Amino acid sequence: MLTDAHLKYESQKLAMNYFRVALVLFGAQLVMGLIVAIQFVYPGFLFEIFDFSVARMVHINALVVWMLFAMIGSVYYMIPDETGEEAVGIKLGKLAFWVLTAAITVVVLVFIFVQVGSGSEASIWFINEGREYLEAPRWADIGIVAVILVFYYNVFATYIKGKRTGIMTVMVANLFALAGLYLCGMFFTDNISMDQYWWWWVIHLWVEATWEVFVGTLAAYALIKIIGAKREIVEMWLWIEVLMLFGSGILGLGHHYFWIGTPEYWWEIGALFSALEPVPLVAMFVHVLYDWGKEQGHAEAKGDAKVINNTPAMAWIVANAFGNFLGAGIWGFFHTLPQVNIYTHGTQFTAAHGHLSFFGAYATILIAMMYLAVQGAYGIKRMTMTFKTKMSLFLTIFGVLGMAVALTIAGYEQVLVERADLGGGWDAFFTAQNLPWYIQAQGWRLVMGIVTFAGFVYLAWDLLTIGAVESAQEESEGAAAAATA
Amino acid sequence: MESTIYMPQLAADQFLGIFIVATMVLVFGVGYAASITLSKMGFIAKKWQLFGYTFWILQVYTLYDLGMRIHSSPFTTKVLAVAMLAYLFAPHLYFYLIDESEKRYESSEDGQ
Repeated sequence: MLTDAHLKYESQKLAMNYFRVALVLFGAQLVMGLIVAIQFVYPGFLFEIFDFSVARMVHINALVVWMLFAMIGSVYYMIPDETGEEAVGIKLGKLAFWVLTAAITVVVLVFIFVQVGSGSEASIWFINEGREYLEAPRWADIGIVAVILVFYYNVFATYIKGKRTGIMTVMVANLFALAGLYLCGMFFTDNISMDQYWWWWVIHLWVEATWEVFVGTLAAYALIKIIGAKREIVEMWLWIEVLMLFGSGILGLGHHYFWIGTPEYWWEIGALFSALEPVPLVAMFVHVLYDWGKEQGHAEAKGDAKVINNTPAMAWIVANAFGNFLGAGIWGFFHTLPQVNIYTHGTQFTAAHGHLSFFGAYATILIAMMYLAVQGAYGIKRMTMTFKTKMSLFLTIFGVLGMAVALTIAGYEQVLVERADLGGGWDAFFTAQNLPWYIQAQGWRLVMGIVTFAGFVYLAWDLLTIGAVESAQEESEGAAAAATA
Repeated sequence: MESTIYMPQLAADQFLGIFIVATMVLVFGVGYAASITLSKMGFIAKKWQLFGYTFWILQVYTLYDLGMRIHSSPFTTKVLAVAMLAYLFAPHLYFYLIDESEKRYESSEDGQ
């Protein structure tokens, strides 16, 4: 990640910058997560210095922002490969990168240094907009929209100018929806139910519709690059996935409308479409494994045992196929139906699902894209896993799975004690949090959080060094082969 | 306004069963899709594809069981039954489309 010497296009060099910042923000997200995890076990930790509410907010916002940086980076990286063209407004794109990075830095610093205070029109504009997950103050909101407009102009105009592949067609249409939905979180209404109604358009229609389609698009592109999958097959899968993801995901929105004061017909709509939401995840899971197996078979038939030209990226894509199904599918289906959700809503079940699905569905594929970019940046023909790659894979997957299991146990205890037994009142909330099962589960979550952080250290170390190591090895192998010949 | 949705009370000892059965619905669903896929890829013999239908039957049963445990409304139950029928045909439809695409791809490759 330290060089982009072999990249021909400025767009791909810009992508490397996005990936670098994404990696830093990923680290920041995990540090904040560790602080929050410690505060669950030792509530006095950093009390009135760095409060739980602030650390949790920065933890979640850093997650969203590092993923957005990595997503933008991924698109800038794939644009020249897909369209055959340099991004048309690359200078604007570079300016937008620095503006966005500076704005994010200022927003995070304000979050950290101005933790407490009264809410006013000025605080909404300059400190914190107050809406969960989208806390960025209004000036930053408007700035983000401006930057995204520049980004979208670059993607759309390059697409119109160059080759219009199926992958880019889906990407362009999906990005339009993804960017447009952000606007739904930028206005307030006096009625809290109506306000939440629109807020969920951003949150749900991002993570359970447009982001999932984005993942499908990246997986399609990556499978062509990594294993040489046939474009026509991959694009056909992609269209089917888009159909299923939007078919179930858009009205799956109803599972967020169960308890916010919307009409009761949302219960039925939410239940039905949520129950169908895992189906495209099964299709995505099958798609990756089927394409891999088929291309491996073709390669072996031709006498070439190695079909994968980037094993770290492929390993993360396979992790994505499993993780998406496990985190978003199984952990989501656990508590998506209203009869169960009334008991699980807002317990640690939600946190378990959130951790496993964001990691499984999104972090994994974005990390795969980073490895793909490193391969391009160092001009490596065939990149293989190092010890650090294996350690980062093992520790992060084991850590996140461990956190999800621990949080599920905590959530299960809350469902039984706080909701089913004690009726879900104020006292019940605290009684459930003081029982040994909950406390021990939070302790294990902290341990697994540390394991995840160790995995991240290996990941960052690997991304910074694997390019140089692998290109040196390839050069020495090439020299040895030339000497033998 | 009269409520159109029946929201049952669940007892504390019902939750573990509900969570396990909900998991099994998806696990059997993947089992079914995986067995058809592996058979199409040639990793397992065609005859084992029949074994995959056992997964589908188990999935239908566990989904029905889940519906009973959480007291799903009759309408939801019917729609999910239709969805399960669609799921029975879905992998076959995917692979039919893939085969057709392969043929198209190969014929266009030959023509180049």
